[in-house]
Amino acid sequence: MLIVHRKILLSFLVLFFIIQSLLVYLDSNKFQKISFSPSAQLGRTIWLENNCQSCHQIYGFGGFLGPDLTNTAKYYSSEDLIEILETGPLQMPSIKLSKKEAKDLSAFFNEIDKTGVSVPIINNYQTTNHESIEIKDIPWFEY
Amino acid sequence: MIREARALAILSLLTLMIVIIAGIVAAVSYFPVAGEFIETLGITLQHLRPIHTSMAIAWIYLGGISIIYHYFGDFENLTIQRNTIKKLFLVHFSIWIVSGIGIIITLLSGFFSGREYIGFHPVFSLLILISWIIFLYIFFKVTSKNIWEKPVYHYMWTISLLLFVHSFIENHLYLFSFINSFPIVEIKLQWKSLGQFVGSFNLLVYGSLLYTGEKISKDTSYAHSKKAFLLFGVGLLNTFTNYAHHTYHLPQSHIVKWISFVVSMLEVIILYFVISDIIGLIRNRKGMNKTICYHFISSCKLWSGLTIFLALLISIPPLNTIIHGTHVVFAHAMGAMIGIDTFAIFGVLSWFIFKDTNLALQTKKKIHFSIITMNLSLFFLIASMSIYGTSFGIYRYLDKYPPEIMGNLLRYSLGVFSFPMSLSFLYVIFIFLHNLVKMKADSN
Repeated sequence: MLIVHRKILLSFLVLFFIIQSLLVYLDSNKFQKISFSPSAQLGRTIWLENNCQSCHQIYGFGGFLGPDLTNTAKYYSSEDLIEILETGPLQMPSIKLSKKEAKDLSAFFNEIDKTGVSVPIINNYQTTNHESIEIKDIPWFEY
Repeated sequence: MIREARALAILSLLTLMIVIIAGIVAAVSYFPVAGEFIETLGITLQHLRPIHTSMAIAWIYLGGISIIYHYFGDFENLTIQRNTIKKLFLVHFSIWIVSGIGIIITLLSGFFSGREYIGFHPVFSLLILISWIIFLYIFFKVTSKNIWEKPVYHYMWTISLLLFVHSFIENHLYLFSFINSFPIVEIKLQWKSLGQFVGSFNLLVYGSLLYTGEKISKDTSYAHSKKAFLLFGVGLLNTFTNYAHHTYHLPQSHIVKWISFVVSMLEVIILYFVISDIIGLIRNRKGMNKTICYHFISSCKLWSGLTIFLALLISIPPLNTIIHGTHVVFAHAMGAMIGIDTFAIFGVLSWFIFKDTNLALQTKKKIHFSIITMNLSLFFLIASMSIYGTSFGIYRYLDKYPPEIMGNLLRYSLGVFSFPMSLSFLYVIFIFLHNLVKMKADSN
């Protein structure tokens, strides 16, 4: 390939990379503006420090041993969630959280739940309690 | 710089050994009695998974960089003293060893970053970044002359090494509150950086394959051809965008998703053609078609074909809804990491180790059965995970739990098929290490 063609190709690729990165960085909608409360932020730290992602997922990100927990708060009240986190649910061993830590982690689940829907189910839009989320807000689920 | 290449090849194989041991222990922990025993040692999947994944990535990078050091040996009249290179190599190589040991110890002790692939404490990330910059300095000092006349694999490696720095830094933006306070922003950046991180080591692997093909065939025309550069260009577009097929469900711009959808299925097809060309080049050399290198690259070609199929499924939005977040994605990642990247690195390392054709033929007889076992076990593992993942996705979509027997079947098939595969890997690693240690160190 001629040198001039190589230069054109590389310039195009660099430009494409910059544009694509800017599209991601500058993209902003109401869900992306949702921020954690101080309690949920502490809950996020507990999630990371205990490496919960090795078994569970948030938005499909993580291990497959346990369920995706993005919308787990939809199925449990805050009180139930705190109790489950303190004792350890089903096959999962207890991660020995204090009441305060369980409360923070519960806040994390409650707030991440409000950002969108990770796992779509057939009756998702009828059963969900996300009143703020409409079908049109959840890209690529419209079919 | 054979001595440095050899040291890196040994380190890469030792790293792969750790990957396999962590994988075996994780597989054993699925079984009732053995699992309980491992738990009494204080080791759980929490500890094993980040060791397994971070070391798997290290294996690919180290194997690829070993071939780059081999490439350095092709240069004469350097603008940097060879002794300086050796000293700088010692610095970054030592940092990699110290970081690797530190990462394993801290992960076993329960210090996690809680992130995918880069699950270790950020202090090691800093060490890795510093050592990477040292390596980049050597790379550019050695190869900076006449960059526009270089073969395509040089461009692949250059972009791979620079993309590593970009995606590695981007992946650590989560440490700052302007990112970590906004969950969707953090998740979209994590997917972007890891997608490009994977693209970075894929480029390293493809570059190494092309370099090896050129060395074996002694045909330098392909790596300068229009076809090679165009395939590289389309491949790089994929590297920048195709991660987004994992983010269809994230509330973000449709444009990012459309771009990803349009280009996401091309990369493995490109690889398929590249490897076909390489095999063609290798076949042109008499006697070489029976070597270990040929068999590993053929396996790589086969797996790239199968991975195309899974990539196609994952990229189609309605199917993505069913299978994303299930074992199908795990199967896809495993097919790509083992079937493509690992077999490709085995192929290039076997060329590096067994340049003497007679030795290659003798060794091939020893490991022929292992290569077949690896391929068959991998096939059954991926098939089991794909079947389970698809069924699970359908049940999930219907808002039901899959029958318990399905989970048990998957658990046992993971155990049954991962053992012969792991043992075959360990045997091949042993053979490679044995020959690398025996190899006469050339100090050029």
